[in-house]
Amino acid sequence: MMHPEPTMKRAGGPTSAVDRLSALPDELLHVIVSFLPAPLVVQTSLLSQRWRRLWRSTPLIKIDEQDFGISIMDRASTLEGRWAKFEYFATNLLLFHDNTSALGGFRLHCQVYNWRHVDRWIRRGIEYCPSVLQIELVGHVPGFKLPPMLESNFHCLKRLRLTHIILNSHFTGSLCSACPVLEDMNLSYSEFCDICPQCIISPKLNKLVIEYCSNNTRYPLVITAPSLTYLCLSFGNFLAGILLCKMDSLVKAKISVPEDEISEENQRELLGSLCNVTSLELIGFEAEVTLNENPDEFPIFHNLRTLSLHSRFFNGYELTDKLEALGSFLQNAPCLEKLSLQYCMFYSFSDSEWEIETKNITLPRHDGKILRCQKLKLIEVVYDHDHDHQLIELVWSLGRSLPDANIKLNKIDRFPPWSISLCSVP
Amino acid sequence: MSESELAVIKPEALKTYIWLQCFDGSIQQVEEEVAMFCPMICREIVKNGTGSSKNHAIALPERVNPASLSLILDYCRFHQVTGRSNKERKSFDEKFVRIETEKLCELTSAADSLQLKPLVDLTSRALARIIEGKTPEEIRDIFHLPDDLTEEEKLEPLKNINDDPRIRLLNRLYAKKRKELQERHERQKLKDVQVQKEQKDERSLDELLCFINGDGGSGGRATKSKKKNKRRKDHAKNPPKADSEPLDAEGAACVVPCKVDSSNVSRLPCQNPDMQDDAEYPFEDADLDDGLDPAMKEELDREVEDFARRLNSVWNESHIGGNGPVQRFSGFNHR
Repeated sequence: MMHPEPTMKRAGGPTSAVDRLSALPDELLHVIVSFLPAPLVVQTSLLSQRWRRLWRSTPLIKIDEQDFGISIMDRASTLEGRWAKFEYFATNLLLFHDNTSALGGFRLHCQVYNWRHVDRWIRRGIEYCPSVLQIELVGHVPGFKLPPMLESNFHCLKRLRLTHIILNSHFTGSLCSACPVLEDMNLSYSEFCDICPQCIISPKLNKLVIEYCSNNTRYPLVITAPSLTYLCLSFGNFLAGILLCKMDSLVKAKISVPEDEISEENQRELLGSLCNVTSLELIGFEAEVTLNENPDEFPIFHNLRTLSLHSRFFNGYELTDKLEALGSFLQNAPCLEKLSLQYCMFYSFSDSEWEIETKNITLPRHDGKILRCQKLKLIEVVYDHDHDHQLIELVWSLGRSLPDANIKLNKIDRFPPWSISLCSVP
Repeated sequence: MSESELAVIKPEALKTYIWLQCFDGSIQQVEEEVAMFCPMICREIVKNGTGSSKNHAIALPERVNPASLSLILDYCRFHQVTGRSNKERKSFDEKFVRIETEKLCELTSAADSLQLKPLVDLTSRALARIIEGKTPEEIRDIFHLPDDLTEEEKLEPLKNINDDPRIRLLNRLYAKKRKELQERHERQKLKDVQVQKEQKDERSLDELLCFINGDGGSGGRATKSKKKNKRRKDHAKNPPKADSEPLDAEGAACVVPCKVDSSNVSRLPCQNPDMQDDAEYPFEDADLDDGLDPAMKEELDREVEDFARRLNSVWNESHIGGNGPVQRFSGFNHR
């Protein structure tokens, strides 16, 4: 909240007090109010004639329960009263809106206190054919099923973001293909529910993020997105895995696999479909995936320039074996320029109980072969603690295996502790 | 960007300058890489080849006055350098928008006409921050907005849009009036098949309801009326109705909850959950304009406006008293 500028004085005559704000065109005023919470936007109608109808034609409709003081921590008694006000406002806001055929954006952020209300808002918001649709349901909601919708409502949809939604085959099947201009899709904490193969087929999709979603059916999720350039998959719980098809345009991929969530075969399959990427970030893949006897099975990453491995190679193999696994990966990435190993290759604990004070280190003579990776010039190792001097062993071995590369060490706390500020006594 | 790197090490004499002309005729020159940061200027240079000399200066849009232009160029000069960290840029931006609100408005306008979106967002955000947290009077004061709303236009409901019983009453009354007019209209015209069919079904249900309830209650109507009547708040009904309505309100109590609460689908006062799943519910708002010709719409609007004005005066009196109609309608707030 800014105070009025000190240079502004209540001018006497009308000539010295010009209303520059109202002189701005509607589009600009809409941009300005788009940064205000929805109740305030409606209140602008009280300012002057110019502003009376402006709130009705804003391209962005934001319905956020936080504007009404509602949070997921509220008790039932306070929630009831606040929700009533919130609901009244939201319903009327949607009803009063002028532009019903091509809305700029519809954003909903609330808990599902009353299913019917939320369903109504979602239907109405989608009816207005938004370009940006963001439905973020919070709280202890198991999942909200999207109402049946007309495909014609999605002809303008460019960006879609859904959190805590239950996605049925209607969504993946018809809606995704009914969005001719969909470029950006983000699905979080959502569940693919129908017992049938679910396919996300989207011709123009550019950016896809699927985080912590789940699919408890025995059918895999199939993603076909020939224009996709960026993919981020954080596996929640996919029983049958995810199949990526036709990822020809994919430039950058970030895949996060929690421990034991996906079978080795699925991991390998995934890697196989990513072989065209330029930049790859893998979190949690296990060593066995690359430690294979048959080198032909492992895909060749022709374009890969940047590789980042995170939380990997933790299993009980010897460091030399891990390096061999790493090596076979690098061998299949002829253009690789930068390798980043983050919290990789060894376990480290910050708990001082486990700290074994090693006074002497003996670095083994390097027997392993030198890994071939000609263009690799930079290896970045990010770690948070080094006990048992495993880091030194790792760096030593890396240095010997990849003699042409520079090694850079970064100590970054993986889970930064809550900082307690202490007042220093001078 | 190698261009800007080169620009840094280039000695002054070798820099290329672009000539810009404001609407008022004043011409200034600016380094090319700075000017290129503006999409509109960039396009002019690349496509039309203007700006290379004083005689062929790029004509800037009207909304760009010299003061704003120099601010914009300062912005461009800072941000076009690639080496800066995000923190530096943010800090610069914060200081940059600490200017008079009047200049801020002009700057927003100028940035918009030059299509410099990051600056438009920055200045808009700053203006939004100024607006946030202030009362309408304060905002009018800061921006010199004319105080040209009539008293009834400054209805309290907008401030407390969430719980004003007047809105609910207006909704109901308007819905009733509209229904009457629509029925009248219906008897006169033939309808268009596709859209009207859905409405027809609705109407018959509502008509039944009316008949059963014996008053002007209708669920689906209200939503239509809300959307339909843009000047709802300052329109009123016939004066004679005004007196009878408050009494009527209580009688129609059972219908009020669904009025405000109704969605497209629920037409019955008891919100039947099954109807929610109706996949082909009519998108009422889309076809509101049929069935009523402009003359009737006007009449309707005038009536509602009249009523609202009366209602406001009634309310103001009773509010002071603290009793009366406010108490009466408090029961309707619960759904």
